[in-house]
Amino acid sequence: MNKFLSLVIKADGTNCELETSFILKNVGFKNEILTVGELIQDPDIIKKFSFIVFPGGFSYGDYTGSGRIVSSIIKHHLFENFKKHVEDGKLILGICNGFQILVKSGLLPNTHGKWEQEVSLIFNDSFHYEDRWVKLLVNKNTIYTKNLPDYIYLPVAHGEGKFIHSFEKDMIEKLGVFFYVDDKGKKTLKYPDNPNGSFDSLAGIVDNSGRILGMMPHPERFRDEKQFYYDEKKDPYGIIIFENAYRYIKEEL
Amino acid sequence: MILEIIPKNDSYDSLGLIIRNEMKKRHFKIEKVRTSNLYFFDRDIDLNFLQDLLVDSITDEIYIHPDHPFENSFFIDIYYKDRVMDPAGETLKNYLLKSSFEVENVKTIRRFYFFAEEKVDKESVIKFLKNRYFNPLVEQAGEFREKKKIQKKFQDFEIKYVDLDCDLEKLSKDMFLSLNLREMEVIKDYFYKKLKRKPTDVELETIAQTWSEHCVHKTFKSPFKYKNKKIKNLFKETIMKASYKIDHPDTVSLFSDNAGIVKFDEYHNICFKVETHNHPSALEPYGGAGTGIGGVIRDIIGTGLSAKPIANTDVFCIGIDEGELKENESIIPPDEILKGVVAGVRDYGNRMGIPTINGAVCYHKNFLGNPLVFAGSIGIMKSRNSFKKVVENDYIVLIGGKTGRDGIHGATFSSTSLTEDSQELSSGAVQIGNPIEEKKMLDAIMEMDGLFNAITDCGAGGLSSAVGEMGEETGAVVYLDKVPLKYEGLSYSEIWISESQERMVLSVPPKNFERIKEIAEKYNTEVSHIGYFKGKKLELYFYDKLVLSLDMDFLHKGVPLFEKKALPYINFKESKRKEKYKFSIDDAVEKVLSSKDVKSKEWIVRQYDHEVQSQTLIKPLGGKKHNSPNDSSVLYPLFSKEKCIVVGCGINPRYGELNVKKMTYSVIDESIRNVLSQGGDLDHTFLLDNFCFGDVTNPHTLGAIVESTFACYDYTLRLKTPFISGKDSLNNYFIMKDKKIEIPPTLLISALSVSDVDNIKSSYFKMTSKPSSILILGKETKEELAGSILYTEFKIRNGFVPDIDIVESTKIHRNFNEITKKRMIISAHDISDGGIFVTLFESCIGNDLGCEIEIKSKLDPIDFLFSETQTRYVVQVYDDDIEYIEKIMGKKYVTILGKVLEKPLIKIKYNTKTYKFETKKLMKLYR
Repeated sequence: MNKFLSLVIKADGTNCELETSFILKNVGFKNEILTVGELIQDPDIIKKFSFIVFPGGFSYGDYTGSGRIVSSIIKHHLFENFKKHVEDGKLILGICNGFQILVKSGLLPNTHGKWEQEVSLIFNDSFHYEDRWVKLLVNKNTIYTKNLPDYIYLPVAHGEGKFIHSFEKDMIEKLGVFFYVDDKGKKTLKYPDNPNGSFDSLAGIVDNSGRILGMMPHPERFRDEKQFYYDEKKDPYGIIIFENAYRYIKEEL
Repeated sequence: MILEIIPKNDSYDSLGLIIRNEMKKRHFKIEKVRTSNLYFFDRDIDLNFLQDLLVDSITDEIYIHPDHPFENSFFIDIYYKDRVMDPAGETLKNYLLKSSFEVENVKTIRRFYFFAEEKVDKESVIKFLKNRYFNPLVEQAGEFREKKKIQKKFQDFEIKYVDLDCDLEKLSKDMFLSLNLREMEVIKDYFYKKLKRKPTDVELETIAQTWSEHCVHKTFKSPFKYKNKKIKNLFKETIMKASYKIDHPDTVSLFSDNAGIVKFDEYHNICFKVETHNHPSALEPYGGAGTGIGGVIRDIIGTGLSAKPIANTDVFCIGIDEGELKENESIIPPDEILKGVVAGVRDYGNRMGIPTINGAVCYHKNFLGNPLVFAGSIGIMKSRNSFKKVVENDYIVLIGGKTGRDGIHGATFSSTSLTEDSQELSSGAVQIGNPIEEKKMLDAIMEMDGLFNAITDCGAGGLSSAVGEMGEETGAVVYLDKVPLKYEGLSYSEIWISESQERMVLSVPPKNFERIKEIAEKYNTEVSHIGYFKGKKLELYFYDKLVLSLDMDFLHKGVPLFEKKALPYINFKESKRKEKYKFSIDDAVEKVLSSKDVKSKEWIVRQYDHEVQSQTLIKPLGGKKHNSPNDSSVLYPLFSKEKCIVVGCGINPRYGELNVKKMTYSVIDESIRNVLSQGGDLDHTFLLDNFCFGDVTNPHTLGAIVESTFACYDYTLRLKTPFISGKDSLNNYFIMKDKKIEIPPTLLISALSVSDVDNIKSSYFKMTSKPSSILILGKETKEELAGSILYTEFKIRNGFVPDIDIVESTKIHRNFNEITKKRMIISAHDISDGGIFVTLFESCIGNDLGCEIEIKSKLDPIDFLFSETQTRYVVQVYDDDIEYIEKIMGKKYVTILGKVLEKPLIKIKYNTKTYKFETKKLMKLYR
């Protein structure tokens, strides 16, 4: 079995699966895109994969709350398979709608070990969709972020990205991976640097194991330095996040 | 059962907070507003299952009606009227059915609770919400109550024959056919003399649709008489003729398919189409713009053997209310129209996963009752998929959503007056789209590559026009009872002409049908085999009875065209300005930067996902401060390292009102400037035309069409930039106080250029280590301010409309293109609305810089700064390169203007005077 086989999960209305698959393949993964329906038919197939990515989009239109229907499908049909995947030390990444799915299905952050929803992502304070590049402070103590610089830039594009939680400070320091910051690099609650009003400026979190990452910004949209939003040389940070996943699997699995 | 889901506390309810703040501004005595969502199911469904689907355990509470959350308040429910698409309800229903729950009707309702100390008049609150939070045409405001549905089951039907021995004009009107007497007579002859029988109702409907202005473009294809000149076919002798004469080696398919196709690289072609959706958007901006985008996306999916949509564009022309709407409640205020169409494009385009990358908004008072909404889409396809051909005996396969009464007689309905009780009619005419339905269909079609011989979309005219068009060569037999319906009770003719969204027709070889079905199932979309392409005629059956039988030739070639007599458009009388300006430069700066046309469109751009698919290279806004508008956006497909697609546009209704020919030259020029300044390649630039003109019974409006199409011919032939596709929308006028108000002649030119990634530059100034300067490249600035933003703002009605010498301007563009190809440009931004000052300002704000310039022109500084002389670019280049640039451009076409400053300050020297503007202060006007 190929240890670098990755899975991108698609539901009706998912729309970032191709570019996510593209970047996975470019950093060395083999990749398959499977629909939620195909997974329900054959849940065991999940064990083939070392890295599962839930890409961005509007699963089932997000009409009943972002990511709700897919997270309900996970709970009802696929939960044991995902649990096994995590317990086997494998990786999961949720981007934007994928982050919403991970959070609402109880896979992330799972601090109580009960696999229940603990936090949420709700409508932006502005109550509308917003696409812009943001500056992020990086917690470098995770598999995905270890060789990133202190600050990176990525685009966000969402209507429901306000992260809310009731954790204590130390937990936030442990779980928080990406934080919205202002020009000077300070964490901020102010619009537009914090585009949605997220508590504690949180843009991305990991679970206790550090192997499940959920983030609102889109790393797959910074795959080439030319995509940066103004004329300054920056590394395409998006690629590094995927490369780190590859390295982890190479070294640890 | 009804479930109500509500955020647990005020802080989770950002919509409630927003509404309260808006109401407070309008002096409502409201303390608090809370919002919730209600879900109605016509069957009981397992509550645990629903809870998972609908409730966020962290932020929401659930109530099962009759329990509900608040007592000390009043509420208003907003929900779609019966038979209007409820995308959320529909999506939920489909998911429940898939999960084996029996359910027929799922409705979603938005509930707003209002808390007030004093009594507040409920009607006045509904009035506030109207057009802001709901549209009375498609939505109901009040209290939602479950209705007992009366099921209309299919009963034995009679075929309706229509007697043509009658007043034919009256018959056309009564049946909403929109055919004139001579057309009706041709039809009568066909049936009575050739077929020797009466037509059925659906036969008349089908002919009326196929022959409608919308489908056949009668005006543009008609012979014209203009100034003693006889024109046989206006379209063929202007737009089309120029494109064929240019004979561009990279054009693959022109004017024949749903969109024009051009070469991208060895293995790929791209296609581009822009549509208008004006009338539906005037009535229901959100639904109109959404279905406009949905329709043009299907055009791209239906081009050749299907292209993948990679970008959308949108352009809006919005009215100005000068107090007229106080007495006129039937017209939606311009601000609400704009918010509605933006939300429509946002919700449809974003959900489709297609970036909206380019657009424009312009204003004119004559768009008040007839706004214009242009929606465009660009697709990419394998070269081998560029052509389609229906093969005899192929299955006719319908894919996508189900068919309902949507859009039946939409066009004719919109000209009758709108009343509350016209629900049955209006819910048909105005439609709401369901992007998820279309996305599923798109995903499925992409995987069906190679399995079908032809594809087209069901747009205007529904199945009638899609099947009629596809079967022109082979004939078609359709079994209407095989079409999946949203609800029972549709007649054969309703099924045939319904304009239900999110449907397409495929021509499938019988051996591939099983595979097609499997793929559709994978993506949760539906395919139905509804007939065969065969028999040379068009034949429709409904439960074994033949209800329509027409010759394809008559249907497609039978429409009689009449000579149109056109008179010259009445141009504005140009004259030299005599008096001195009664305002200062500061006044001019303030007015122009805060004018609606110039003001930042960031609030719109940010709501669109312009980066999904990860192919956007140049975004609509750029610079460190991400607020500087780029002239066009640039895409580079995932697989492409070197090549990219530059997309821009030109439009100017202000000039259109004054002088049609000059307007036409100007908008072509603007579209070319937009793509070239970003690094586009003139040798690989292709254009699209969208004509929106007024009342075609007005001979001067017809004259405007003639003048504009000939101007298109002249300039594009000179530039060698062929038109690859286009569309016209005529009869854009509205009636107010018994006066017919026509829109100004409006031409949208969209430009697409295939270029090298390395030639691409952004539009805003940069600090450079080597010395650099700001230059104007192009025509000498003249006193050309008629129709300019400055004159519009100050209501000055004299001066000259910018003119173009097409030989000179072509030379300038060509030489400028040489310089961009030599990669000598640091930044380039074209000069358009608002003149040089606006261009400089927009170039400064991106990186929070300033500039210092000196005016050496003989013109008054106000004229110099705000004139809208065409064919000019503001560029930043290295001083070392200026000599070379002067050599290429010719000295006459190079003006050295000044330098970029690190300080965010615009300094303008004129003789001994210096004007200074802090960009931070100007930003307040511009934002």
